[in-house]
Amino acid sequence: MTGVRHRAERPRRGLAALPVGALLAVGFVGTLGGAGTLAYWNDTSTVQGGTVTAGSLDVKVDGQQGNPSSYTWKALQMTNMAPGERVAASIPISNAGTTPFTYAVTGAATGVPASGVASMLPQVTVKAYVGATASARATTYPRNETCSGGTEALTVVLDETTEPVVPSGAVLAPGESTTLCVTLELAQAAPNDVQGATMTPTFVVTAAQS
Amino acid sequence: MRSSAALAAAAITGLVALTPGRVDASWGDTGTVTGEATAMSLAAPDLQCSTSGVSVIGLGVITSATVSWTPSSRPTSLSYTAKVVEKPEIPVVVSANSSATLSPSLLSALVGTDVTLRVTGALPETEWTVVSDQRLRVGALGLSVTCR
Repeated sequence: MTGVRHRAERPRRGLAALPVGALLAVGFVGTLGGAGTLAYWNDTSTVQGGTVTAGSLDVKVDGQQGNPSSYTWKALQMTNMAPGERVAASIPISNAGTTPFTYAVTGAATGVPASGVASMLPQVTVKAYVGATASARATTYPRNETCSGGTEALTVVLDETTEPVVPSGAVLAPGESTTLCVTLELAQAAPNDVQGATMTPTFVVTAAQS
Repeated sequence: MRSSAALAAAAITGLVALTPGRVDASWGDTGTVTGEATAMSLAAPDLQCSTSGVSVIGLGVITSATVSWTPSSRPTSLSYTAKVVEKPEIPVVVSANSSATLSPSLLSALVGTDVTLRVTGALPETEWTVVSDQRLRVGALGLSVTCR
């Protein structure tokens, strides 16, 4: 037996020492634990995008915004109007934005009569024309200014209720413009107590994205 | 099972209620312009009153009143008429569209009273007129008309 050494058998340690049931339990737990620690590789790369700029929808009347403050249409003014007289004025409506739009025009009028003076509103006929031009300013009685060319839109008698003056439908592309010509005519049969009355018509050009 | 189904239905209902509806927005813009028209007022005649006497044999001096004015040409020549407004109204002849003379004989029915001469300017072919009044006195004896 000389030179032959026999190692004493050591007690089994580690997994070998565990019973099979315990190993299964550890495996099960390990499986469950692994579900929460899975890691995926990832990376990011940033690409500088182009600039996105919103367009604009912008209607201008006589080159003015007319919004929020009303723009005074100086050409559509006549003082000392007598029965049968008519004032005409044309004004450009333009698309100053980058988006095509359809437009419509509505109108209303105010005219608070003074003591002893009747309202002028029922006595004034308003006519609107699209694409028309107003005649030159008349200076001698009876002043009968007119709109020429274009298309007649509507004829209305304005009061404080908003009325359509030019129906919606026409399209203005960016950079395009048209003219709105309006006449105000005081009736030949306007009653005597209309003398000295004042009328303030207001026209709203509404543009909507087309 | 029934309660689970009810719970699921309630959850779905809740989701539907919370889901926003589709909103179609379109751009718009407005421009507002304002004009103005003012009706004229005819100018009332500025009346001037004067008297003049004429000797009449057997009666003495007969005094008449003449009311005059400058006719307006704004916006165009007005057309003038005159009348005594007391009932019955008495029309008075207008001369040269600018004066009216009242003699005692014209106002014989109004002896001893004050009367009103109304001068009316009318804008031709319209309903518009403008008036001015002049008060006059008809003498008690019916021999004079004087300005008041």
